[in-house]
Amino acid sequence: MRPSVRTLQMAPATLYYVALFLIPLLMLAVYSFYSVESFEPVPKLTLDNYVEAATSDVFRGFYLRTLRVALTVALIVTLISFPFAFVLNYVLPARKHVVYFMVLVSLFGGYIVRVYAWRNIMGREGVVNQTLLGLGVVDRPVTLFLNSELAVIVALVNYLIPFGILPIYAAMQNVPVGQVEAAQDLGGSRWLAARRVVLPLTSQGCVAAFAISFIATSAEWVTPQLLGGTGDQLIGNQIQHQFGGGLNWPLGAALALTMVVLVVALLGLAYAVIRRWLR
Amino acid sequence: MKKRWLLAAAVSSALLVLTACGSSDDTSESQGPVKENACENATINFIGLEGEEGKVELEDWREERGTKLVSSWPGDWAQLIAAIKVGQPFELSTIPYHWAQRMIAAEVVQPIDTSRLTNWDKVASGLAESPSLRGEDGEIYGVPIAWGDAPYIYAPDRVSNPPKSITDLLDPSWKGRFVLFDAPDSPFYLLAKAHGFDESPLLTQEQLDVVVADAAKLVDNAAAFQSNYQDANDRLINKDVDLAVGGWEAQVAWAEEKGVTLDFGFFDEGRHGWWDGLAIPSTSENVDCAYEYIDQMISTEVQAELATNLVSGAVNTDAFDLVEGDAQSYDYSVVTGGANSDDFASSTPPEEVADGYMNYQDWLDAWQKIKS
Repeated sequence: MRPSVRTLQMAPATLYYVALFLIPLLMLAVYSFYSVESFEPVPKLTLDNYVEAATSDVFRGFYLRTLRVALTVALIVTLISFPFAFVLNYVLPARKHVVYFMVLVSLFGGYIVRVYAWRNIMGREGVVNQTLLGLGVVDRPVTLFLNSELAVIVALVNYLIPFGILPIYAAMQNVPVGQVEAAQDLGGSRWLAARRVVLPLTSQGCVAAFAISFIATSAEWVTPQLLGGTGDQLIGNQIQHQFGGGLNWPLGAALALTMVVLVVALLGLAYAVIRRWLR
Repeated sequence: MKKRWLLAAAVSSALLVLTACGSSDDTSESQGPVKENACENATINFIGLEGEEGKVELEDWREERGTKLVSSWPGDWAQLIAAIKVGQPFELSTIPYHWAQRMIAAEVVQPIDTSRLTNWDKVASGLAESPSLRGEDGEIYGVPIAWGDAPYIYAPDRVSNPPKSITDLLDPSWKGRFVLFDAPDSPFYLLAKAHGFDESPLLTQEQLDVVVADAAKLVDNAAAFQSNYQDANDRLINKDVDLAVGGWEAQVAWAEEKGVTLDFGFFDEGRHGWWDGLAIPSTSENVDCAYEYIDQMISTEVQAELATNLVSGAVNTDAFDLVEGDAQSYDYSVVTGGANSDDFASSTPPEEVADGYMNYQDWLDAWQKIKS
């Protein structure tokens, strides 16, 4: 029995998915049931790691903070991305390729470079403070910008906005300009057309933008470390600690998988709410 | 047919996962006398801190012998342990004071017979006799090659009255003005000393509770956690903070290169020392060469050059007068049994402690709780 052309066409993607996603995820799942002896994971199966991940006050604090920050970032990214994509597609159709290219160009900058750039922008002698001082809004540098949850959120929003715009913009390609014009011809404002016509028809793109931002933020640990204060670390920092200094890979794996379950559950809930709201 | 394929795929995946998750018990301990010129035409695989592998200092020595040095710089100490645990062969590794006990307990390094090292007798007594080098079996597992005394670094133009005690930093006036490492070592050790717990880093549960209460205030007052010394310097130079707890004298020189003046100081609670050493990983395939290389690394001339380059303390007593530059600023009496030798103490408790005392894992757990 020879494999069909369709099977062969799917093979590279399937292999890629299995090798780089499924097997690592399975390994993580296996490790999460291991025990630790002499700082080494050993195959003595236990549920203790999940019990600790679910019941520890320490981790609860990190989970709640992570979900709060992820929700905030995802909402802001989606709320900015939708109007941006709308303007790009319907208000500036003649220049949309140039602007779209600029959105893509912003992804070229290295992630770490961006984080350090934000440090310079929000620092005591950074651009924001210099501007505020120059305008006379403040008489001394504001220290609240850097080393704060605000700094983490601003940097993540900036980083994730292109990832929010792209799926919404892609979804808008399937909404004919004629439908928007028809809404306006019938007396609707541009805002009403966007809200009542375009938004429901691009809800999948909005959900994708929200999901991408939420998932990316919930896995973050570098930005909180470099831009956050001592009380702004996320669950990603704890997972990194367990795989690093804590030398407790099984607990790190259990924390990571618990977070995956939480994220999937919350995204499912968010999806249902958005669908209902847009109906 | 499809079912058979699925079954085969499932079994293969399961085997792959289990194989990948399996631990390696490969350890090789070379025994017997050290061969002369064991490094001739040999390759030394090193894993550890960049700059502490003798890349510059032993370049000519290696060239004479046709010895090749291949260095790996792990992201953190857990990566180093993992790399050795999974069986990657390394002749040499860095062993830092605060991870020495973990590396020994994890059995990734092998005991070192110091009688094979011709320069061992020149190693300062405060370092050679340190319990932190030794395992529970009393064997030595690391040979120090550099040391320091963990000062705090500050910007004198913004800090006219440097803190005398670490408890000064609990004052609201210091809120958001300093950084510290994301580790309990230095804060717990110093705060315990400030409370008069003289056995620090050995603390009872009650003592640790007292320390943790203060440490929580300290963490709350800190602006951020510094990732490393360079990160702390960037923040000091950018004027985002005024002081960094847990520093290195070299930071003053780095700032000078950028035209910024920084200074260092010590809390009244005392200095707590750090040392970095070389160890022979359990996976070493050329133990004799490892011994020869380590011996060279603690020789007088190499030590003087290494200390000068790293701006750290030399471990070889004959090298003390030969170090140059900022490395001369070290108070060598702390490692030679001089008046301040008590100050050169390890800031971390061992993994195994007597009943009633808290071990390093307890410290780490308490630290995570503070951050949550």
